[in-house]
Amino acid sequence: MFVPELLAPAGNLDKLKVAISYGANAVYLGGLKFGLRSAADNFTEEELLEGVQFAHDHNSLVYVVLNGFLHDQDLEELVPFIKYLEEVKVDAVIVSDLGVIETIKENTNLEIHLSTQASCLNTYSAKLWKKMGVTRIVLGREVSIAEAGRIKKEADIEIEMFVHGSMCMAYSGNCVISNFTQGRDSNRGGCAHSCRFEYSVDFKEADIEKKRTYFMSSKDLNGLKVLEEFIKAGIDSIKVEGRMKSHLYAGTMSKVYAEALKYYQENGHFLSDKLLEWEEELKKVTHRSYAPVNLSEKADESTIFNEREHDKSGQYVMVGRVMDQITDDSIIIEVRNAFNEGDEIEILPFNGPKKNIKLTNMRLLNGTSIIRSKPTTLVKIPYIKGCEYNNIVRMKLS
Amino acid sequence: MKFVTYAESKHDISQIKEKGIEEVILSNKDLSRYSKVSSFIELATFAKELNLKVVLEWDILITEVEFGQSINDFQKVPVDLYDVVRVQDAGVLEYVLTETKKPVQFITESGNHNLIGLKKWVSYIGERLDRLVLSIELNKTKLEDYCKELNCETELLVLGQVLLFYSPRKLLSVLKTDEDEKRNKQIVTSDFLEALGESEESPHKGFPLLENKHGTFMFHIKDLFLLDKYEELSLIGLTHLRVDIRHKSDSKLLDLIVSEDSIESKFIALKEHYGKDVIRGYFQVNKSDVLFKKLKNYRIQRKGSSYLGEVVEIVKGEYLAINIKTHNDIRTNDELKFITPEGKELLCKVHFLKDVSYGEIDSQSKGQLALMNYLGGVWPKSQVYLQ
Repeated sequence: MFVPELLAPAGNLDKLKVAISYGANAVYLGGLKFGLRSAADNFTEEELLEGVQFAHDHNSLVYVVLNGFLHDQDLEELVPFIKYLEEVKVDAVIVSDLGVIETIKENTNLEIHLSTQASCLNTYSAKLWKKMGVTRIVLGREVSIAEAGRIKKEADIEIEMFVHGSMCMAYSGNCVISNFTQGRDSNRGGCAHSCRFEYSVDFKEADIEKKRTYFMSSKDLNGLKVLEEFIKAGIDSIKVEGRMKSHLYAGTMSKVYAEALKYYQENGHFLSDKLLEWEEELKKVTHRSYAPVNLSEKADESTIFNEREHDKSGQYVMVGRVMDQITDDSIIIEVRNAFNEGDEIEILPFNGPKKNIKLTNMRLLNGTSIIRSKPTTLVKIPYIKGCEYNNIVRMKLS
Repeated sequence: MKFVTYAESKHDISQIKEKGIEEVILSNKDLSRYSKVSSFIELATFAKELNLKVVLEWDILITEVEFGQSINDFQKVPVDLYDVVRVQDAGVLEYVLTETKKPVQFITESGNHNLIGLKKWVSYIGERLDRLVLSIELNKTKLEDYCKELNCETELLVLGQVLLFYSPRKLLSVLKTDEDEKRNKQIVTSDFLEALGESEESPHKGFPLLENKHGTFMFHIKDLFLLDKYEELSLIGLTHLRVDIRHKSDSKLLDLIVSEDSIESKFIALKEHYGKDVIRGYFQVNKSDVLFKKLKNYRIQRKGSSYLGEVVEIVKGEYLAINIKTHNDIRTNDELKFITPEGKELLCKVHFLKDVSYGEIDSQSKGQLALMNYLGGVWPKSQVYLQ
């Protein structure tokens, strides 16, 4: 039975391995330039080569984002990079600018996906971009699943849609707040997230006070409940936003959506208590309030996230990851956030249910017993069967 | 070099004609982002009577479900009442090219900052291209290069609001309704809701905000004003300069722009009369990528074939733990270079190696942890290279 490709973000090489190990069919990542996340770790050429090899060894694909609105001088530097991408056999590049498309076509045979940044919103637009040489379109996040299905059918082209993650409030590619207020080109990787600021809005009416509000901040997208609609509409790829986000995010999203898609593939429906479990899992990761945003109907005022802080209730924090194990003796955890003896931690295996552990015995590698771990240390905990390198270790926020 | 501008009333059109401007941009509130006009037909008929070139602006971005309605709105406009269609959405462009015979003015103001891309648009639209509307993020050198190379009419906004943000979501009416409800005021829905926004997190105060049926728009606190650079603009090779003063409702502005006075004096007078702070944007230079280098720490990126891995733990006086990340093995007696997150470089010989069982080993390979002799000054996340 057909299910879409699950496309996960890979902010760096470690996150790529996490996302793929937890079930992503494909990852998207950025090189050191040409994308929209200049502040992300991104990939050096050596890391890119290793990432592609890792992905291909695990039957996954790698798409490289080149979706900045590039200037002439950027295009000159782009040519050797795209030749390198072709040489290391990346599976596609994600592009929003026609000059970049032309440069890629002229210099390589790389497959080209149109980025959501190009705001392709309708069938006519999809037909135009298809003529320009793109083989897949990442639709604007304003398009519903039903509309996407129609565009796919009418334009006869692969369609990718966002299923989860942070949302631009503006049409992608149509926000230049950072460019003109902070001197940072938001469409070349310098977005300062001014839409998440608190504003006071003044209607200039004598009896109305200025209203303090986060009116330009969007709730996060969550498409788990409408996954079946994606499948029925024949959407080729569902994408999780978040190259800047944590290992916990990359791993949890990949695990939940991969399990859900696999369940559907095997059963042909989502009528299962598993759906509630998956929903709970998604809530455990730091997020703004969730909403389906535009997936089923046009986003209304209920999709505004009128708060500064993320709701942390019920959320988990990544306390570390499994680095190694000594069979029948111990598991070695690289600690990211401190935990104490007596705490209950969870290890997320790549497949199957989480492992709950109440910490009774912790040691440093030199054998010293400890009662509290510290970040950037390695800690041994008692051995548990079924853990692997890079498994995420998490704990509920108190 | 000719001026083009918008009209929203017969008076505007008369004034435009009177001032010797030959082309007018008209639209209605269904097709245009900010137009308040209900009857395009009446205005276009009048403009045609005055022998003006009429440009129909259809510049909204349109999702699939709204496209049919927008086509209906477009088709309600008699084809003989306009000469050219001005579009930005690639889908609208494709529709106009495939379903009509009208020439096109294509707005490339969102991105399109390279010649290769612009040339492709020109060749794709072909003979139907009336003009390219270029981005105000291009500096004067780029504009000059492009005007020489593009072989078509080119236009630039030289006076008007700078659009910063365009969302299809209605973000203001909910705030207004809340306030009205709080004060038991009658809730009056408006086609056009305007406000000012400011944030303590930004030094800029008073962003003009607008909500209408197409969504919400935010503009820069200052308007773009390039008219005092008229001499430079005339050397660049632009064929048209666009003036958009719809938000000002001040008929004197157009008088000043097209007055017979000397260029220098009239634009000084205009700037003084304008009544709002102005900017030149990126006209002189665009360095909007120079800050990117400061957004991340390049020292913790791995570089080159001698890369070994990353320090993940330090136990003072005892050992450093290195996560071996490449196919390079670490061996006792190897000479290593450490680059700390602060950029400090430290050299050290491997005197001993241990594995995670704390047992002595001679070497360790990819994917494994290796413990080696302690070295002061090294921090977690320091990158390790073979010398």
